[in-house]
Amino acid sequence: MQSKKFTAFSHIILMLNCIVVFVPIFIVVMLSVSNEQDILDYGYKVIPMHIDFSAYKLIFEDMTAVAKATGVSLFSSILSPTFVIILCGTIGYALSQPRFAYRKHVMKYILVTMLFSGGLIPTYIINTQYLGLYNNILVHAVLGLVSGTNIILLKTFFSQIPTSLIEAAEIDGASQKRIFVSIILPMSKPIVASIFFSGMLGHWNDYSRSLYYISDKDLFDLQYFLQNALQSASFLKETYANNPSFANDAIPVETLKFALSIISCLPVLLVFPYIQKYYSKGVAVGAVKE
Amino acid sequence: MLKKSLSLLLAVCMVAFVFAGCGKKVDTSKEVTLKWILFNAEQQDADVVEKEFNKQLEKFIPNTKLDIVFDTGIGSKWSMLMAAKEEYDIAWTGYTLGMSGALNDGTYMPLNDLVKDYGPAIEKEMKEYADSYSTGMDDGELYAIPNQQPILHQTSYFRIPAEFIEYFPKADFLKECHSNYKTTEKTYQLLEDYFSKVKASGKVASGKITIDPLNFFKAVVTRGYDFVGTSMGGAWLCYDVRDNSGKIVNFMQTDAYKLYIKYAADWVEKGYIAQDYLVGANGYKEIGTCNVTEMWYGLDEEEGVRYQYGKDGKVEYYQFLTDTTDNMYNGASIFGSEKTYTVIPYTSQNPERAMMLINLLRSEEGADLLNLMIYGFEKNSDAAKEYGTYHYTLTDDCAQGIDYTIQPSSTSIYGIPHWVVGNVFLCYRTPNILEGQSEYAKDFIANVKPSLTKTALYGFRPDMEALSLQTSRVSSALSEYHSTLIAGSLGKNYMASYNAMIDKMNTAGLEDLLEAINKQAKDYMSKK
Repeated sequence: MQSKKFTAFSHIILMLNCIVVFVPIFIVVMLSVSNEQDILDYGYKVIPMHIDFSAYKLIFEDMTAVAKATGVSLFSSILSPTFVIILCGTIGYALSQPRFAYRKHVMKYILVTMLFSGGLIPTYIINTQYLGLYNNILVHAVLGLVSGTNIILLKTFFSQIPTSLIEAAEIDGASQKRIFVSIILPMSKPIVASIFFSGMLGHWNDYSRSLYYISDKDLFDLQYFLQNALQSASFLKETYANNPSFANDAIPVETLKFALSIISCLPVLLVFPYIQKYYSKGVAVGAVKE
Repeated sequence: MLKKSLSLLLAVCMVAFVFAGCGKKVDTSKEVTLKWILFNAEQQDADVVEKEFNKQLEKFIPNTKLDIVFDTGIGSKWSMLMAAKEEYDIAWTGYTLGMSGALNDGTYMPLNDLVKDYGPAIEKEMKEYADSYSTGMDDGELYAIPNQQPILHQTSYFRIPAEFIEYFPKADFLKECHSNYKTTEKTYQLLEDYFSKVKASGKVASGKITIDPLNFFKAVVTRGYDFVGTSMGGAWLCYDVRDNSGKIVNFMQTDAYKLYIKYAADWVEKGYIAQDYLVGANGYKEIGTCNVTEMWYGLDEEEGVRYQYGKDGKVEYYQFLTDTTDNMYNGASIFGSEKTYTVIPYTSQNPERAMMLINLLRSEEGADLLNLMIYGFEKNSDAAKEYGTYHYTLTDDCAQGIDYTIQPSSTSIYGIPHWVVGNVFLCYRTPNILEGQSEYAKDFIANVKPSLTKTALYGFRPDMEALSLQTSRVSSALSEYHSTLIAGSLGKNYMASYNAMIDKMNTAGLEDLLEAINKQAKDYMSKK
């Protein structure tokens, strides 16, 4: 009986949690399809007085540019975490093996890179003047692939895999590459998914690569493209305000902010439920010591 | 006879040698590509316009190509580009980046010698627009060439939506502003009366109304004070424009500041300024805003009032001019105050060729090239036929860009806002430059501007670099409180914060700073 009550109580709490999460998203969606003038006259309304897609029309005015920017963001969000898993995973695997004689020294070296970085300007010089990454699509995929944090997370997870499994595979004649691909990675799904998803999220939301390394509009990622759209709408609105010789164009800057939020969040919201179970397991790595 | 001829020949040669440096020709046999970084988004036809531009350029400066880099992020990354020694030959610079800092960092190349040797058109402009050019100079050396626009003077206005015009005391407001060079308490009372009537009218159903206190402060509260060392927005070192002693004071300690913050706090309490203005004031109806306008020309429907029309042809806003020429002045000089400039970065490998190109685009001879760069191809031009595309139509001397009327956006086929490049007076007139506006601007620059009152510190530019440490300490104390005070967010308790701000500014060395800057001002006045 007590258990049933507890279950009911838990459900109520969870439902309230869902509402707390859902309502703001719902409001943002509704505001993004509201009429700009209604917002200015009557404030924010959960249910719009008039449905108006002006903000979306403004963003999708140049559909090709939106598609290109989305493509660049997808390219970056998928390719970069994949490379991260390959590079950090192989390093982490080597470091997790007690047979690797210099692992302590290598770990110290990796720790140093976590404490000190080269700084923005030297990084920019190396990337643009030596690696030729300026206005290069690869800049979206190859920056910051190896990070000490990811190596340590992977190494810690790999260390928990019984050594006997690796030894058994070696006896069966498997190479290290085979062991890594066929045994280590499948057994490490939670941490791999967690790092992959964090990286994907980070790349999806980041616009600094476009800001610093890209001036070719075809290579902008979605976040930078959307930020430019908002800036240029605000700028145009201000210009109209200062040019009385012109009819004041109704540029929906208020609703545009919400429409941009929706467009930039939507892909992440769609993908998250499918990898959430791995993600929650992965982030708990290292939390328990036995 | 032979002696005489030889003497004459020698004299001719000497004169020729003396003038040899003028209009120096650079060796253009070497092929050079000039990189020009512009504050604008790249557009669909940028490549074909560049191709055509280079074809035309060959006729004027042989073996020279232009590579335009469009970059809207220039303000955020200028320091990084320069630190990384990116080789740009020409660059846009202006209000999105700290020009004084960029000058102190040595990122702008000194231009006097280059102008003397390769820039006769620039030399001519320097005489014609001496005041504008002085804002791009430091210690007599030109570093930044102003992108001449029809900028006449900076004056402010108060703008209200047309639906509230019946509540606005326009005659009293204009009279009070125009007859006082500083903003008086009566002006605030008149505005408060307007706010209360709007609120009581119920026209804004949500009841959430606000003015824009930040622009209001910048454009209205600071009237009658000239700021030194930095631009008006974040400045606090100033002097009364009618004080002949030219004594520099801290604006935050003036009666004008104290009076305004009292009203700002009260207006928040009464619901005339959004409580959360500093974090967005989302969903509020703006019933009044201010701005600084560079051009008040030909649009007065009534004296001192401009009408702003909506797409339906009805008046949407009214703008009320706060100053007339009686209250305007020529004051202290601020580096970068003309907003947008063209510079040659210190990283340029071809400064001579860069100056030749800038000079060409600033001359009558290169006006067509400038038009090509700004607007693209005209509908009936050969280039339009060759490339199968065009970017504007020309009616008389007015260029109408395709799919834009004021400024091209990133989705336009082609167009660079005219304030980004060169001298607007040499360009085709665009729809947002009214007929006769250029002539009016030129007349204002030549005749009206010189006749405006010159303040005691006219032309003074303090050496802020020597005081940078003290300035940043005092500014940091100021920035902790200033925004909340002028937005009225602190409500009734504003005086406690105000006193804390002044105490912190004093502790940070305000008195020493004022003493040092006043010493510079006195030296300047004594040398005048």
